[in-house]
Amino acid sequence: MSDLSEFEGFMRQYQDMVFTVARRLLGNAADAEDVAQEAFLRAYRHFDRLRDNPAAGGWLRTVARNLAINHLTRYRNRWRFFSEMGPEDGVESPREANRFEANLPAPETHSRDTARLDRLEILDRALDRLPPTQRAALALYHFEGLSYEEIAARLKVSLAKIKSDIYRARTALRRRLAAQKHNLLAE
Amino acid sequence: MKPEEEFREPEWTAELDRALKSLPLRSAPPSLIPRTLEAIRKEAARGKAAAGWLAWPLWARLGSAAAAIALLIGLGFALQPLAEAVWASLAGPAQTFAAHAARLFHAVRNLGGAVESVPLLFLAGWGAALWLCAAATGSFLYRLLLSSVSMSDSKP
Repeated sequence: MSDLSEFEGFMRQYQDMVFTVARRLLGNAADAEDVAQEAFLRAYRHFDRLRDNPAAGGWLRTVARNLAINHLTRYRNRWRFFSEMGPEDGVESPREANRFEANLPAPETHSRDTARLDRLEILDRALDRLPPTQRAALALYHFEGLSYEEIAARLKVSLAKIKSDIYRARTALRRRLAAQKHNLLAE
Repeated sequence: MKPEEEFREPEWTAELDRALKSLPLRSAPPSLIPRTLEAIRKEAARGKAAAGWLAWPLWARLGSAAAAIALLIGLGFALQPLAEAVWASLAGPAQTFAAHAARLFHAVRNLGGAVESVPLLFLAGWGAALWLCAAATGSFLYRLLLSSVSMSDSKP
């Protein structure tokens, strides 16, 4: 049991990082928790080697990322993750854009609330609202540091699709930040 | 500026990259650690028997291997009369089946010879007529199916 209590401390140290990696790729807290649990189960099987290893964090991050990618590719048919059909793919629909606008503070309170909202929180929320296909590609590029080619290979889609998804994700982020009168460069 | 050129702005992309990388970590749900510990306990409770035969102690591996071999040999001896009886009962039907298969083979060969004697043009015409009938029937059924689906979709 002392092994388990030690492992509990290990989990406390890394749980936010593991959960965040999975959450940003999957965009879903429940799936991210499943992936995080599986990553820690694997870590427990190798705990003898990981407990005092300074590379444990990197190992966990890679395992969480791979498990999340496996989850995405396994269930892509179920939720049409990489469907290349339909004009709405990757493009924010007017209805979705209106919904986002509707969630914004009222104009009269806008400046006061914007001052209160942390700019990173705004960006995080905008990231959350990206379509799954764009968010996963963007997260693998910016957070995980993979190249376009690596992302295409890992997600088993074409290079052109990845470039398009990342371009669209950046466009959507910029549009949404602009909708909040928020400019990254102006900060 | 065209939309495609918008994000070729390296400053903005670099700033976005920096901003994304500086996002704070999300807090893991409080249930993550308890459920992981529970899963670890369940996995451990399955015991060494579930850990695979190679993980068993040497004496257990040798004993179980000897028992398995003895069981197979014993079963072989015990089931030998049964196997002979089954084989004998299958011999008659197998001969009958072989005779039927030979007759079918001859019939198919004769049919092939008969078809060869029919003019090629007639065969082609017959094939085209069959194809047209099949295509028309398929198209009709497809349209029928589509109309029924669209009717059911239009219901409130």
